[in-house]
Order: sequence, then C-alpha cells, then structure tokens
Amino acid sequence: MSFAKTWGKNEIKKGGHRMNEKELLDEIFELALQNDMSYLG
Amino acid sequence: MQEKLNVGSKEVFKAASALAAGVAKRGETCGALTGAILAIGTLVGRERLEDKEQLQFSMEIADQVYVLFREKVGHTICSEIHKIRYGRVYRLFIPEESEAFHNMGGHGRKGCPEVCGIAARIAAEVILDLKRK
Repeated sequence: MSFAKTWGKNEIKKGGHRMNEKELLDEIFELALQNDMSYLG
Repeated sequence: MQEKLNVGSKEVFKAASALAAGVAKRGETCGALTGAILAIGTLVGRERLEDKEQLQFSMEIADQVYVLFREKVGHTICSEIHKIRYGRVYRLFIPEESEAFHNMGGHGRKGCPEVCGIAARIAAEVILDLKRK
C-alpha cells in the first residue's frame, strides 16, 4: 500500500517545530488510547 | 484525530458517540474501526448520492482500513476482540457485565484502549497519505 511505502518519511509542522510522521502517529496512538481509558465506560 | 490532523467536525464527533463498544454496547463491529472509517470518510466520502466514483473510492480506502485493522487486532467484531484480549465476552449492555468489565480493568492499556490506539494510528496513516496526494 502506498501509505506503507512512504510511512515515516515526511515531516509535519506542529506547534512551531517539525515532527516526523512516526512521532505524530505515535502521539495519535497514545492520545486515542488515553482518551479511551479516561472517557469511556 | 480531529485535533492533530484537522479532520472531521463537532457534528461528526457527536455522530460517533454511540458507535462505542460495538454499536450501542452490543458487541458488534468494533467502534474503534467504525470510528476510523468515519474519520477517513470526512475526507473521501461522496458529497452527492449519485457520485458512484467517489463512493467506490471511499469503499476501497475503507477496505484497506478494515484489512489492516483485522491484521493488527485479530478480529473486527467487539465480542471476538474481547475473547482475544480478556479471554471472555463482556456484554456491556448488561449492567452487571459492564461493571465486571470495569472492575477487571477492561479499560487498562492492553485492553480496548490499545485497540483504539491501533485504529487511530491506521486512520492517521491513511489520512496522511491522502493529504500527500
């Protein structure tokens, strides 16, 4: 899949500094996990 | 997802509320999967009923998400994911079983929350790829 081939190679602007794609995906993973722990149930 | 990738809206967030726990706590298709497809649909879904090309495109993208989710989680059905993660099914629409689920730590990191993280990551990968094109 194309997104798998290019995964981790791009940089995304965030809050005045640039983070790579892996960092952003890790952050989204953790946020979703924490939100489920905190707000469901 | 909305915060980090600027997709969706307050209306979409509201509409997703009852998808949790396999649609209204019924243990059907995992809410993390349907939520991921919903988020991606805000970018690739058809805007007009007659737009079959866009419908087909959104189906193809959703299928990629479905396959990846099933590979990483082991199943797409909430009650089956319970068996994988907890060794039994918790019928969350039954108050006693819902309480038992919470008491045994159902919302610990390695339970449903990790599944939500996996789904969000898959959706984010797809969305980033779509935005690149």
